[in-house]
Amino acid sequence: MRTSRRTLLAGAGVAVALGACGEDDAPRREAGARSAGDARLLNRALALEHTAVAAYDLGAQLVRARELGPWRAIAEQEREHARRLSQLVRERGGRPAQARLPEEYERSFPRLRTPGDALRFAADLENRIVRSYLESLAKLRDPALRRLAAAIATSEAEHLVLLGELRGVDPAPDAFVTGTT
Amino acid sequence: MPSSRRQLLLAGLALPLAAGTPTAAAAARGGDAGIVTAALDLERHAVTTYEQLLARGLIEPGLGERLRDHERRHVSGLERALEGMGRETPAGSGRPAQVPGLARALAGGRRAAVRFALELEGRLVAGYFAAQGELENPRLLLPLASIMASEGQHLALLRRELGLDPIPSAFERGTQR
Repeated sequence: MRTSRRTLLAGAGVAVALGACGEDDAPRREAGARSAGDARLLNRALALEHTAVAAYDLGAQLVRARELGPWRAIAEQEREHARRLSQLVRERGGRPAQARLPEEYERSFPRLRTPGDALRFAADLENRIVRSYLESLAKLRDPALRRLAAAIATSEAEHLVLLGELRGVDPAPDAFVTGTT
Repeated sequence: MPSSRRQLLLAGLALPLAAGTPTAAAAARGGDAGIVTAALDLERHAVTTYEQLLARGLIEPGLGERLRDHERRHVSGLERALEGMGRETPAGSGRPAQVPGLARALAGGRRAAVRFALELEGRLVAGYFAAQGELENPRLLLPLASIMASEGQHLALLRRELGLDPIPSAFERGTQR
């Protein structure tokens, strides 16, 4: 299968980044617990998960019957992500971001008219969510939260495999999954 | 050895430990270089595994070639990371005899061989998962997480190949020991 130039460049970017991780970089300074900062980052992720849930709920009305099984399985995992993130925000003294009304999300989405539209939008959203989690890693102070963010990002990457199969496109084109595909 | 470091080793990199490879010593010496070296060792095992599965017709060629090629790129990336740290890249550990359990898996037929690959990918994911809590250089977090996400996709594809649920968990942590 052909690999897009953009995919190649994204992968090359990660490979270059690995080579630039020299030992003269300043190690992370543990400046004390920054629960509030972590809570803010978690809330940003939570907002994206709410968006994903809304997209899957809306898309369930569009996708074909044979696509519903994996579609709903992914949707349920996004709900699990949202529940877990809400819990973590509360534990850190924050107020979890609330989901907006379905019609508010629908107004902010591109026009979705066909199963292909729904699948393509879901894949775009999953990529955006992967990218968001990966970019949050260096900002999260709590190592346990970094592990959780990586685990969720990996789960979202697995969703991309199912969506790719449903769309009839390459389900795993990248050796370095950065959400920039 | 700090308990957190031991947890890292047990989470995903216990196999090289059991095999007595230099990986265990490298990781135990601590630091990001130890983590990257341990990951590199396991990625090399993955390359060898797919090469052997392909050579024996024990995996669908398109799938096997894709996963093999990804693992080769992971190896290159991790070697580059070590060079960036001013560390020497350890000698290759990719001979089939250096991959514990591979010979038995290959002799067990297609399903056993693919399941072996699945378990190896699970250990890789588990190792990268643990590493996110251990790495000291924040610039390593994203690249290693991007590899973890790739291995997660490999898990989904291999589970599908084995007729298993491709996404059994909302929080993919790999094979925890």
